[in-house]
Amino acid sequence: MSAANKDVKVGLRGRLINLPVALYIASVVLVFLPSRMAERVTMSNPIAFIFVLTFTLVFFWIKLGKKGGTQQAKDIATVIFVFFLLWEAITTKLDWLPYIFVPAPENVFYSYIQLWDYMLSGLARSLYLLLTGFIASLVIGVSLGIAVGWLPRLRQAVFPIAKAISTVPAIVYGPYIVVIMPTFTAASILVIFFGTFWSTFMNMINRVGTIDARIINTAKVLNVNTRTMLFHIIMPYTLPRIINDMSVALSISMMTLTFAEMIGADRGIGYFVRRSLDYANYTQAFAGIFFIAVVITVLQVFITVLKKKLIKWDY
Amino acid sequence: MGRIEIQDLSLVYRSGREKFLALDNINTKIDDGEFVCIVGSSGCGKSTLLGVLEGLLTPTGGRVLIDGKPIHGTGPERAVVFQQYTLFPWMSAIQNVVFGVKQVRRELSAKQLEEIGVEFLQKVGLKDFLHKRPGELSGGMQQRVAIARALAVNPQILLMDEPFGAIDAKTRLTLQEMLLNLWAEDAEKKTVVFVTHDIDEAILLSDKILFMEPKRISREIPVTMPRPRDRDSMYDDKEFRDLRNNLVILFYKDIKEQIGGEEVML
Repeated sequence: MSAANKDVKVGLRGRLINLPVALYIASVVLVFLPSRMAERVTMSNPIAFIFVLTFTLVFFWIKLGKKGGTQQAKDIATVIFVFFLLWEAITTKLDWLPYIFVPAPENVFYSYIQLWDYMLSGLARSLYLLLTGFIASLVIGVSLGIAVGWLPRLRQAVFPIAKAISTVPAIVYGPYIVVIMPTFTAASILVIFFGTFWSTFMNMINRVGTIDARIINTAKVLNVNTRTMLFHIIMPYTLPRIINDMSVALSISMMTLTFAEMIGADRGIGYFVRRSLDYANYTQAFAGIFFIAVVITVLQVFITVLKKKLIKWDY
Repeated sequence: MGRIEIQDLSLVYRSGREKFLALDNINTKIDDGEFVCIVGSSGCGKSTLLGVLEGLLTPTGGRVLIDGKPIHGTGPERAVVFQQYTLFPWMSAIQNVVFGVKQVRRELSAKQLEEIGVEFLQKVGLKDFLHKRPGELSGGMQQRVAIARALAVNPQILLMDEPFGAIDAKTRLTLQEMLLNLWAEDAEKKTVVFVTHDIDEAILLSDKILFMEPKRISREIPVTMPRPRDRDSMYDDKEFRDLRNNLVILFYKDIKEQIGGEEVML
């Protein structure tokens, strides 16, 4: 009985290994089947879509090769391929949805080949705004937070005020910042800065205020001066949580950036989506949205790697 | 060097309008090189008293003199070992030990600091664990590092607040012996003030036991058993048994008072 069960499990597992591959092959075949849309729309080159499919497969193959999480990798790959398969079938083959509003995957991914230089320059511009505002907010928020948090009277006075101000999203007064700042670049950086500054600042005050008394007392009896206390005790002690909060802050910054680019940019990844929507070019808008998702994911992975490298003691 | 005088010491905790008298007019003297245990039931103020000696708590009345000079805050002539979890978790064992030395002896080079770190971790039997972080060490090992860190600054006075309180019984015995050996091998003995609620531990370690009833020192009990003391034969010693009985009776009386004079089983 149990032996039979085992066989069933192994059999199921064997089939699952092949499921992403089978779906990959099905997707590729589907792309080359005759399309009902062909008579109405000039089909673009499917090479980019095929590349994305192949890349996905290779990426998860590499993941599968590593120990641990292989089942998850398989399942993720399966979900992605089912999504692509349905998307391709519904748009180009079945023609169920209005083709103007729901673009076909090969057209969306072909946009990258057509517009790569334009998108890359937009990416460079966006990353410049994003990282400048984000890093400035992080550095100033953390250092001011440590300083204010360390002095109990200042902490008790400033914390409620910061809390009240932090409830107002930066995008509410964003347009005002755009008006008063001399250049759009400076305005965007400032909006992104304020997008995360108050929460970073407030979290830091809170964290320093609630730091484990044993750690502080130990440092005191070791006769540390204020500078050492702030930078060699409190700073490393709070670092794991600073990095944890970084991923949330990064998402908020990205949102503020997209907002900023929608009110007055001439380049950038958020601007790209807005302009495509303005011209009702939904194919490019889709391409822009995927692009933003990939960029944020890469930045988040970077933060995770940073955390693993920096924090070896807090598991 | 390392004589402690406590004069008319009292401490009142304030929280809002509420006041709580934690220490009431304490007077005592601890000699240079003496090993003193402060014993008492929980809440009697023994950790508060040590907190004043550490310099972390400011008394509301009276003062503490070390070698005739009143103390203000913490100082390099005193080192502290707390109960547990006071190593900095982001530093390795040797970095933890060296950190304290670095704060008071800025002139030392990195190499000299490392030599001190190795020397003291070797003394507590951890020379193979120099670069392990606290998270990778057992509770007993962490306390060894904490002791090494305290001794490395070469203090005249070692203040210990239930340092073995959270350690399992077997490891505790080893650590007690290690501490006694480290204390005894010093040519110029350090003054040790050791807070505990373990009666056997107090008798084994100390020259003098300060018994605290709530808020004050009610007895000063000298322990004259010869050193080095041997745990195995100690239990057959008449002085040990008498001392132990006396302390148990004191504890018992104290507990009875705290719960309102009713009979309790000990």
